[in-house]
Amino acid sequence: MPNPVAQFSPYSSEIGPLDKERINAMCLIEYPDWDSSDPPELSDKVKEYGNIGEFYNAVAYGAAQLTEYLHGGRNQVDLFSAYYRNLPSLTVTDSGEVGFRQVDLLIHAITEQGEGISSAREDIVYSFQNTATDPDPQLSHFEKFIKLRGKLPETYVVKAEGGYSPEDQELLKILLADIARLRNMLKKLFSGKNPGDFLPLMLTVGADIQNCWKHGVTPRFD
Amino acid sequence: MTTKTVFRIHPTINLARVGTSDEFYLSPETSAGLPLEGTTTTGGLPIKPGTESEFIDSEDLRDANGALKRQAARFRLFAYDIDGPDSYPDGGGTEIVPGPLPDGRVLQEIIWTVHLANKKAAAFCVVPNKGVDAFADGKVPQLRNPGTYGTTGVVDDKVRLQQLMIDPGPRAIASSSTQPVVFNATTPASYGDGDKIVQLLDYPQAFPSTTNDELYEPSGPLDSLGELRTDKKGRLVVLPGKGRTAAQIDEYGVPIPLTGDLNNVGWFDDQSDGPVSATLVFDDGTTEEAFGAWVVCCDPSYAPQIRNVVSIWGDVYDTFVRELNLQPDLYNGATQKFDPEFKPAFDSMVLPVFRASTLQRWTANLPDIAVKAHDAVDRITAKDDPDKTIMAGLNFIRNPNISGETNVGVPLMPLSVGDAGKAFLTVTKTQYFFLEQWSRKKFTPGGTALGPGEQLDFASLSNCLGGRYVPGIEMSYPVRQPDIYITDWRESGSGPFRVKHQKLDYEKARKQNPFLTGGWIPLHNMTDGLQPGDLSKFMAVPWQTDYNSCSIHQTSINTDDVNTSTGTPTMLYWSWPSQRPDAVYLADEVINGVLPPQQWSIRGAGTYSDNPATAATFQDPLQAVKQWDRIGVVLQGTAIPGHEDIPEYYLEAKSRLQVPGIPTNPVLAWPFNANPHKGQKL
Repeated sequence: MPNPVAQFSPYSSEIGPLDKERINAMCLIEYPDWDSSDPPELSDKVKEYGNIGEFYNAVAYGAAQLTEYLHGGRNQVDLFSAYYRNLPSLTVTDSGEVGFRQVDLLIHAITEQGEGISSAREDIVYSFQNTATDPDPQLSHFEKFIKLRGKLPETYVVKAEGGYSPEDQELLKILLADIARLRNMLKKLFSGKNPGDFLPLMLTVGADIQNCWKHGVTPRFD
Repeated sequence: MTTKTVFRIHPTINLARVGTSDEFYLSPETSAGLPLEGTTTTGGLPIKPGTESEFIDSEDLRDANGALKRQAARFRLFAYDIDGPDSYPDGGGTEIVPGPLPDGRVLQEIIWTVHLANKKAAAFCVVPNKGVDAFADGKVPQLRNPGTYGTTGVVDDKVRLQQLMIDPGPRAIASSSTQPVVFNATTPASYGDGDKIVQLLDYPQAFPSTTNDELYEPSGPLDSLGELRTDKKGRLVVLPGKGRTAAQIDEYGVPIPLTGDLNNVGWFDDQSDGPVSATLVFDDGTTEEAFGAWVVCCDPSYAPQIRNVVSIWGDVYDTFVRELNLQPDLYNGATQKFDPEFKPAFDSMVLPVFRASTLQRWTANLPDIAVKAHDAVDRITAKDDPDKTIMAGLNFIRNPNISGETNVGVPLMPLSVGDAGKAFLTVTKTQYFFLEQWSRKKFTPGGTALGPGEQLDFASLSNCLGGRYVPGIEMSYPVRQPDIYITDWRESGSGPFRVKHQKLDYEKARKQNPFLTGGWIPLHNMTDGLQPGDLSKFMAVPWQTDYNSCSIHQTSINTDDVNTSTGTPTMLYWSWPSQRPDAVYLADEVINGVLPPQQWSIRGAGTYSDNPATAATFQDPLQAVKQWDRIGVVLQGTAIPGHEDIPEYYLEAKSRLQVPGIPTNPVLAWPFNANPHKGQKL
């Protein structure tokens, strides 16, 4: 099993401007072939998985074990199928084995978008490519972070927390309040309710985050 | 300082819109989509003829035979008392009609003169990826109809002008007249000279039939550019042509085919534009000239209440603010900077952008996320803390001061195709500054106190498409050129936003020579003013092919077929969604207040396409030339009998296009893509 930590050091997963440390952390999270063991090494704690892909492999493995309990058509949310015109479905509509294939497809879509197929240099599967808002839809997230690592983006200058003005503090308070509302609304959404203001609130949180950055304030989420 | 009374025509620029009917309604005098006091109906609706301000409803759109009514442009005269350099907004001005005036004089008559012309076929080609820059550095684009060489092959060539320009000459009408005066070849040209109307029997009137023995005229003879009337109060009413076209016959004896969208060889249409003048005749025999206006006869308004995020008003206002010293407290021309202490008025300078965003859903197939987000934007009031709204930090507005942002698609707005050479549209720099100030909490509640004439100027131009002049719908990039306007508006008494009339000596008109020339072009330091036809000549010929095709595009249509956007190359975006409806809700299909699936505005027979990029168009451009008048009009529920109780809906009414039972070209959920070239993947 390769260990890319040395290659992507130093790294940091603390929230901060998208510098080399943060990009290294993202490369580690999305690194392909971190663990290809089958069955995956299972853990009860999400933080014990090597990366996102390994975690999702475990989810897929678990779903395969519980196929007979899988019921489609319940609590499904589809906001993005128009962004993936070549993907058969973004929801699980069937039960049992057929439903599991839909689950497995969606997990594959997530992991392959993130890490690519198995090698860092191959295009991701055509059906998993974003057909709308991505100028490089064939590249996995890992590949995209590698590109960014080669040319770091311009970022907002951030202040030390002790230097925040009352206005800065207020922006953080607004963000934290909206995040709390969003969490509540997500719970409703995934429990089959249809909270009408979910979409504007999701976008408002995005605006809050960038508003913080624009003022040199590092966003916080709790 | 002594006070002097000056007279001005308003609106400074007004729009007449073609239709096939003899009947007409009047140009709107309110601004699209903005709230109006005392009613749930929003601004932008045209006005019933013979009334001061009564809105039309859907039953007024067509005549008894189903023909689309024309929109006539109504002009009024205002008196201003000025005692020094002018400022904006003036806030004053009183409308005057024949009879006693506030200064004690008695106005006996108004002699109105209008000169309409169409120079499209004799003018330069529209260059989609260059826009106005095609005229930079002393250059000009290729001429239309290069095969009509004349003797010199240049834009002022006498033979070219004789064969390609439509010019019936000027027409004058007295305010007391009860008879229309028509811009055709059988009505003599005439103009106001003091208190007289002078006929010009030797004027070189020119229509396509003047120099073509045979023409293909699919909707009837192109023999008029419109007519003049006056109303009971002596105001001027300018009616446009009927949307007719004419094509030359080629060497095989068939009409020259329509081969493109913008610059079709051998084709003419009856759109036009020109100066509007007024001479005031007093009972003591004295006369006085009013500061003139301009009329543009253009496409129908298929969605008069759907506000453009960037309108022609936005561009004209931005030009006057940044280049013609409109409001020194807002923008310093010397430092070329906005004043950071300026506080925009929320209702008139910020809210219109918010209103425009929420109205887009009625003419475009926006996804649910956009509809709900825009509604959240529309709920913002002057009382809200900007940091606590969905517009916090202006994170979803494309910044016109950062050139790279015109390539960034989602999540930046407006998400429509940009101006020539740019992937996406931006608000104007002045609009953006107003939004920035609001975001910084530096704004005032309420609106701007405009005078009644100034209100007409604002309303007229804010109901037109701005921002994306490739080439546009009513007017094109010339509206951003300071040298088309009276630039000494403060000192001259003209007030702002007034197109400069080129002085024309009608006594020199002779049949054997074209009277007008190639006229004004941008970026060539031409400061003598505009001739008739100098604005419409920058528009497509015939206009219907451009209207038809400019529905939905890949952004690369503006950038030499190279995708510069941050989206997938095949992604489709709306071109002119407020002014050229793409996807609409049919009023007849709204049951119990529940919206049906959207349908394309242009639909039915002849529209089937195997490529979503052209799904909302007539596939044969000739069909657009023949059936443009069948397209329905999007109106607010309050203006559609049976839907008055749903003012929040804007629905299509009175389409005469086929409604397919089950559409073969359904409106797809956005985002959607053009089909890629053969061998390429989506």
